[in-house]
Amino acid sequence: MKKNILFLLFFGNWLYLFAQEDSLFIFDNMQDNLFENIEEQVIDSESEEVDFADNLDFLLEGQTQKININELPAEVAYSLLKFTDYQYYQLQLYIEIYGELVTIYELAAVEGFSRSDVERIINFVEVRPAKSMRSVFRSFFRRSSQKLLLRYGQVLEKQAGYYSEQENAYLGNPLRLTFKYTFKSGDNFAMALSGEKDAGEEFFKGTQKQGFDHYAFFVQFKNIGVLKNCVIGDYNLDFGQGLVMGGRSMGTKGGGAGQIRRFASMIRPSAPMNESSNLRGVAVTIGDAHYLGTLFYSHRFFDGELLIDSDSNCFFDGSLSLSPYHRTLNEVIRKQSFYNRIYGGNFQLKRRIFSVGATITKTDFSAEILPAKELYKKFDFTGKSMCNFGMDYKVIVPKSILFGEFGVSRNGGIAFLQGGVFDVDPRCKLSVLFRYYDPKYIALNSSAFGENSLSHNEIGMYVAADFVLSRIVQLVLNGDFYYFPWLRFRTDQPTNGFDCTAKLIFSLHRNLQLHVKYQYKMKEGNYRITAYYQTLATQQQHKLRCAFNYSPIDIMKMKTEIDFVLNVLPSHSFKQGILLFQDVGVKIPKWNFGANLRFAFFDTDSYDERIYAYENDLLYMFTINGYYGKGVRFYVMLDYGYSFFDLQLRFSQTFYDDRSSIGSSHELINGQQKSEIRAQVIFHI
Amino acid sequence: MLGQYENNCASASFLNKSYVSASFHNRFLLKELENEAVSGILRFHQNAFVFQVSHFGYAKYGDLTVAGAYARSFGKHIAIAARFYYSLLHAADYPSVHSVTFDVSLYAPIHDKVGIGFSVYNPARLKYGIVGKTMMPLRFYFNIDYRISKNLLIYSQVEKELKSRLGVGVGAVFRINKLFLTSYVQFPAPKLSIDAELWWRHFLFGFGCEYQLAVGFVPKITLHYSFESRSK
Repeated sequence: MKKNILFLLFFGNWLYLFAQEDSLFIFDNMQDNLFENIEEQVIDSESEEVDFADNLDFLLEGQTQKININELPAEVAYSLLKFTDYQYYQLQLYIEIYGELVTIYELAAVEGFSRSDVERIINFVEVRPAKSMRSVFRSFFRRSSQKLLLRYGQVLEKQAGYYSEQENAYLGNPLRLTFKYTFKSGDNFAMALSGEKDAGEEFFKGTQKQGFDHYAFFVQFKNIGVLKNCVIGDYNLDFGQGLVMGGRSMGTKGGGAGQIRRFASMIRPSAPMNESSNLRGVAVTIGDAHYLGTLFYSHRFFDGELLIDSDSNCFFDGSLSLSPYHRTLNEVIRKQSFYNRIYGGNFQLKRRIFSVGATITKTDFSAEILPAKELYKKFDFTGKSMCNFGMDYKVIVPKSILFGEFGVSRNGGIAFLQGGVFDVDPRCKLSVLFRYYDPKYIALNSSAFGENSLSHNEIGMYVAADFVLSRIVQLVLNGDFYYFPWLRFRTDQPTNGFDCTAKLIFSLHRNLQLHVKYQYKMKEGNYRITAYYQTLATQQQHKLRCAFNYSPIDIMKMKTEIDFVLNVLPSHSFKQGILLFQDVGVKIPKWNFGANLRFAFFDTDSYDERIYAYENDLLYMFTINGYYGKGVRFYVMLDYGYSFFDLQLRFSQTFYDDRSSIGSSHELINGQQKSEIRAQVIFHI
Repeated sequence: MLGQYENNCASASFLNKSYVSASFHNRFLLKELENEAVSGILRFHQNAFVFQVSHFGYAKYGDLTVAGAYARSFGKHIAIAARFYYSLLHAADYPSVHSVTFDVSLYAPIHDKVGIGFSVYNPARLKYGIVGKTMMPLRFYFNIDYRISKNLLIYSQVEKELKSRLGVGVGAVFRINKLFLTSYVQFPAPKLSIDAELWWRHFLFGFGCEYQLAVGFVPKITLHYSFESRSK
């Protein structure tokens, strides 16, 4: 009766709590664990839509079965299981000395692992004998798996670019179509072919008679004698810490203390379903367990409008970027107008406790890149060719790892970074990273740790610490001090910056987790005082995120999140933004059916207060939506699996209350709402 | 109106008795801003039906709302509900406006101490007058509550309406035998409320007052009747 009395008083849902029973626990699957990592990093980098097909294919290969701890790839250990280098090293050492683990609980006896580490990963891993590396040709097709992915997407409201009276209108229809076929045989052979047509592009007619606007493919041979890896087609390269050559892999700000180091995955085949900055050509790695040598060659096209002088020399005046869109006649004319050739090599010497590597790359352009007019681009790449050389190392000392890389470009610019991850205590991990990237240093394929997308014009120190405060509380802290010795976009002087994050994770109950994250960012930028005079001013940003993850029953997961952003402007006035959303996810394994739903409210004073949040999307698509303006957004996603195919449908709609039209130029929608539908089917052959 | 947390109808399915209620409140001590409501909860097994009729305003201007809801719990840890509203807006010398909308709610008592719920009012963005131009309010509520001890419970509510800022409130319920005292404070538009309720046989008598900064006091009175005899 007591609960009814209280209930009646307020009609309040909480009153029922006076007589409750314990509930089920939250099961975080591997995908969630990985997405959590990616989410932190992508939100910080503020990119909106990322196709993770290749990364997820590799990392979630074992999604249907647990990861075998006896043959654990380094990238999986670091990104999915959140091992530190020291833990991974000790595990490999243990297996080498004592043989394969026979039970997962044996892991607690390995140096560097605590009981809580074992409990944390026990749902994801199991113990199986390592597979024989010997390949039998007869089993080439018997052990093979094939997958065909077909994807469709469309914005339902008609955008301005599709009206024929629009100047330079889109040539094609608003459908976005993609496909990807993959074939894999054991651990030795894989191939893939993918194609993409963006919305607005023609399809099998007009300017796109070849069908899709973009095709990508690769053929890969692996672990055949001394041939460690050979990729023909599209691929990514990761060497050292990415100072000379690095893909956009893990290891950046926003993660925990153990996440700052890049994990050189060497050659990674890739057939992305969009125009990304992949290399295209041939890459080969040969060697053994101690010596590895890699050679690569790539030939890649760029879009742009070329200038041609009287001697038929070509020049390019603009920024080097891979435009994914060829929807209008102007975009088609600029398509693949010049190319670059990238070639080089890497050598690595690996020992149990240390490794050193050297990388050399040369980049040649078919057209000369002209110097930019803007002063802040003074040190940007110009000319026709560039050469880079770098050396990297990693050494494991007791309970810690030191790593670093040094790079130099042909114009005399240097860059280096030095970092360390320290397992101080089972309850405390620390990491430090110092970076110095000369403004003159130019490496067109670099992506080392830092604020800038390319590694130049930056000096900084990053520190991070993870603490286990109690059985239910974890604390993650990090801070980054940086200085830009040369001008940047919208900063007319060298500037400073600082950001720090404090994240508390409360595991209040087995099925209730609370995340509280506070982030502070301080940057200097131009501030216009009058119409003719501007100076440098400090801009500060405070962000607070509060997220409840809970699972009332084992087939249902829910998340409630509240985000708040406060920008302190140089005039000492404030602007703010709020995002509030509710996620409900249901998964019924018995019916192979799943559904995800989100309802979000957002209210921001301007675009600068936009708030990014992860959204469930089709498998292999990772969407971070930027919420700004005033309105509501919802999406619903349905997922059904049958014996040989998986079907996913997603419908999303955003309603803006503060405007009568959405977007601009060709993307303009006359109306207050934008709806999008996506569908995907994956055939497992 | 049944109380300040009537926005989450799903929780009604966790009741094990049926009730009828009547309430009255007067906004800012103005007779033109009075609200009268009667409601009932019919509860059986895991289901609950909720009926509500309320009127806000006075003879020359007012809003009559009739609502009916169905709530169902699935096991002990989850309940969902849908409530449909019919609203009649009347103003002297103007034609009356008939509108319909609905809300959906979910309530999850995670375990014996924590309960979490949310609801969305008018998620389909329906308009006044059904085909009118002005959208009815679109609101989101999130509630969380934590029972500290047998006689003390704290709770928090987050409310966001499309056209207004986020509102966050915290409150506490104290139980002293048959007397229940509740205090609640909300920001950023400051609001403080204090209520006292007392059980007597099948009846629950409630008196309370809310103070909203800049606009004034909202006195209220409630009466509830339970259909079954009180158990020990």
